[in-house]
Amino acid sequence: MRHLKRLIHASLILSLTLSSSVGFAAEAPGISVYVWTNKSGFKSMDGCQVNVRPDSRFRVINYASAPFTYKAETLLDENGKETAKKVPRFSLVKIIGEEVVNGSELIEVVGVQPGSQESGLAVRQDKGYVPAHALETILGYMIQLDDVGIIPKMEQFQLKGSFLQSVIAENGQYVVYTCEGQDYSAFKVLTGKAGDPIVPVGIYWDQTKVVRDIHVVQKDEALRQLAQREKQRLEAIAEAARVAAAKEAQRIAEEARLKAEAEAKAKAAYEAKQAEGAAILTVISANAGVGDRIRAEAKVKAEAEAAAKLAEIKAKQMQAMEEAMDDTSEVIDPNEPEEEEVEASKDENIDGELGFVVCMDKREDSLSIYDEEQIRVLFALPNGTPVKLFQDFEGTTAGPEVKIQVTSSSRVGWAPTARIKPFSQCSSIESDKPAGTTDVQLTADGKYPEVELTACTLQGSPLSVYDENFVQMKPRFYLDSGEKATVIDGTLVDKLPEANGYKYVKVRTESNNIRYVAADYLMQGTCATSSYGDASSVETKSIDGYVMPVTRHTGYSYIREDKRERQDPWFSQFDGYTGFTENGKWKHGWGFYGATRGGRGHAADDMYQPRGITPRPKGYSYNDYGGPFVALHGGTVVKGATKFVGETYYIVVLNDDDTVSRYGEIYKNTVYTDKKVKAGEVLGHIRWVEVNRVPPMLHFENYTPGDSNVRAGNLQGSKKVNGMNTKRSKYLIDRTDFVLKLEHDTFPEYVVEPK
Amino acid sequence: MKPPNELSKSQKGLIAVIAVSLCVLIFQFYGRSARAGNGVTGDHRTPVKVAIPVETKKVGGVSKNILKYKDAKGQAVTAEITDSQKSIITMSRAFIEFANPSRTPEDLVGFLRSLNLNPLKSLEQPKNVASFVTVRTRQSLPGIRYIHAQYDDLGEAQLGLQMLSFEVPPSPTAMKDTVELMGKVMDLGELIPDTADGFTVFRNNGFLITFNRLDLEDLRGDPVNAYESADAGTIRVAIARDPGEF
Repeated sequence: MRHLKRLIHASLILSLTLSSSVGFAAEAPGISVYVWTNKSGFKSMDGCQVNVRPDSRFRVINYASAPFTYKAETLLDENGKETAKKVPRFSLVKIIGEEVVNGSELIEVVGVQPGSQESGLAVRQDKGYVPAHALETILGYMIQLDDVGIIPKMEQFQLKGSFLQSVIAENGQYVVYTCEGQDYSAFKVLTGKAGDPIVPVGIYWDQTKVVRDIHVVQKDEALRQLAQREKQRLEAIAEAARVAAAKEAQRIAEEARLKAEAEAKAKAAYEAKQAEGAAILTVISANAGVGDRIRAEAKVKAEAEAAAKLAEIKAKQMQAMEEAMDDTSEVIDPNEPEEEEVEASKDENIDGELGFVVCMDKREDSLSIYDEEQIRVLFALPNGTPVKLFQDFEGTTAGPEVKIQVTSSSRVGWAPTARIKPFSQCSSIESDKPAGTTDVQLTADGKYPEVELTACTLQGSPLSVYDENFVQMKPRFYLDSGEKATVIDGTLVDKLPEANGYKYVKVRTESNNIRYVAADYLMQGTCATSSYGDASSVETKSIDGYVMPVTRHTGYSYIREDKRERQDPWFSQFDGYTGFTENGKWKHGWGFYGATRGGRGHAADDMYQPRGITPRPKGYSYNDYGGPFVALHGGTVVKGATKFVGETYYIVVLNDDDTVSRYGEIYKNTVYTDKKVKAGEVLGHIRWVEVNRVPPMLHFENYTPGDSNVRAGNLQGSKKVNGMNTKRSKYLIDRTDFVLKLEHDTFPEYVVEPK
Repeated sequence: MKPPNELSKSQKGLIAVIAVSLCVLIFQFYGRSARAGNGVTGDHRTPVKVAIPVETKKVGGVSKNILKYKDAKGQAVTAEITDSQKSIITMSRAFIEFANPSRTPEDLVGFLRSLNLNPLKSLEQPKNVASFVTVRTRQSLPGIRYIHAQYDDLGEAQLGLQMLSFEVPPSPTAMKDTVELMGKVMDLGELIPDTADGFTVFRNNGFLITFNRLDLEDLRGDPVNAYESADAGTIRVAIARDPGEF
């Protein structure tokens, strides 16, 4: 009874506190919660305060980049090399390192998810590094208590099969119980019974024995199980009620029968005495029938009305589609008089990148993402999370809810349409990172130190910059994640004309501009994610400040076949060089400067790269992946990822030697416009162009920056090479000899006598 | 004797020539500015008309789409088609219309708006002279989705269509059916030989028309479209400026 009272008190305080602001929580009286200690198990502690923290150390192993998922993550050592131990997907871990190292977090295994078929499984308390992107917060999960024996002080709650769910405040931060000066991560225990959660519990991050034998369940599945249990419980109650009701009905029926018999006897007696009195009884009996009929009719009518309403909605949808189709169905005479104008919608034009994000009213808010039925919360997304919008093949009009996919994790769910906006139309975000996660220590007077820092965003998205009036800067909209910024005035200021929750400091950017940026995004050291994804550094060789843009020998694919030093069997065996067809069209090869392309002149040196030698990033296929490519020389990216042939992209770099290079046939994941690059710096990855006669290649064009168009990466024109129009600027140049010498110097062991 | 400030006949003539030239220059300047699409111009213009060789007839209250085309022998043929096929034909004709260099992003937006597709147009200006415009729709047409267009700077502040695409749902015959259907209503051009399985390319008057069966890697790497694994096999149909690589 004492426990029950305490529990009710705690639950009441907890619910009041969580529905209030954080500031209010600090004033709340202490509450009683159960906290875990490895020594004593669960114990009740009084006087705990409810607070919030921006992050929790607990994570779940889960790397899913649709349509791929990974069954386990291999633990890495401090040098980033793989160890023999694997941590299965959905295992619970905790972050024990203080900073991200080369994109990886130092973790300790808390509990290994059972059921894995992997060999070399890690065990509890194993430590190592895993890529940060493979760690998911526990927001989308619950921990199922499989073994009641490990919580000896809580048997009275009948916890077997119940779930621990992390407690999140309305602002999306993690709730902690601060008891005797120590923060315990707050969990609520859900059993599926009405009245959940039954008890608040706290777990200190370094004492996690309670979750030794874990069974992590995705939150939606846990909720499904809980709902199922509740349904079964209610069904059991209903069944008991039905049995009771049947008994009661039987009793009433028996009573009624006896009464009817008595009444019949009375009636007979009455009829015998007073014939006119029989009519009254008849009316009473008939009225009882009318009542049943009215109720039945009302039910049928209600069902009919509901069906009619549904049919009406369907009909309206069909009519809208029909009208839309009618608009397109005419055979239109271009000489017909013009029809009236169609008004543009207010939000049709977007100034900036066309990417959608979760957009809440305040920076610290988060958005619950639901299942298709809009019943269960699947997970929550912080304000500013980049998402993609689904469309169906039905031509369906967007409703109040929209199906979305989280760009980083590929998770799918439904969100209110009004909360998904283009990034540039959302005033409550600067980029994709939760608030309060900078590692910069403020000075004694509460300012940012005036030192060089790094702009870091969570997913590698660019970061907005502003002038002194907080007008977003054009043409330079953003800092890249990973770009340096030197604080020149560390005073934290609000955005003008209206504060949006962020604090800003004045910095000098790499491009020597004075800008305001949101202070939360400035970090010490390097970022876990850069704007150009997982392109890590590779071993390169600099020759007088120049680096061969590809990391493997090309087989001289950019040299005419009749002038090439050799056809290389070594290169061919890796599917790196497939040779040429024998017909005249391709006689001298395909990849050299000035080769024919159906009458058009080829403008590039195509640098073939062998398949299967260079390790591929996750998700890249053997067939498509051609390895990383690097910057020829120091310079500035003047055009970021731009669509090229098929599924490939290109970028343009203005080199410091007063030349311009286009790197084509690459993956989208590459450097952003305005990025300063160094010779040999990894710029991205080569992607196959899907022509069978050639392997993946870097399509490498060069120009002199003769006009502003070329300097801006606009390379169109009509320059002729070998009598053929290349459709390129007149400033296109042939750097084949230069590249050939660079390749000879880079791979001297590969140079052979001319054939 | 001429009054001192009166202009001679030749001076008047010269001024007239200069004035006319200035008018022409101003007209050309504004004409080009409206084409350039660097600003939000032409948003309230009458939508560009796209001739679609499909008639919709109501038979017994049911709408039927009748396609009119000429077969390989040049004979006029009519055929009943589905709403999905009609959508593909609509986009085929849009390929022809909007690959025309005189058409601006605003023209495309107007056309998509006339189809009630809720178009969006984003303008990126990463540098002073290099603009990049993306046009997408919030809604799909029956049988196709993810209509997406990109325009980039051709120099001299002139934007040109870089690519316009849409997608057809996966099926064992989706690629073949789509190529065949589009071939009935437009000249696809010269087939590029020896491309990968699931990648059909035609070279067509400075553009490439591509039919790409998207595999799992394509779905994963897509920067703007949302996919689930069941979408593998989707056909992306695109017209894109020929970069001279095939």
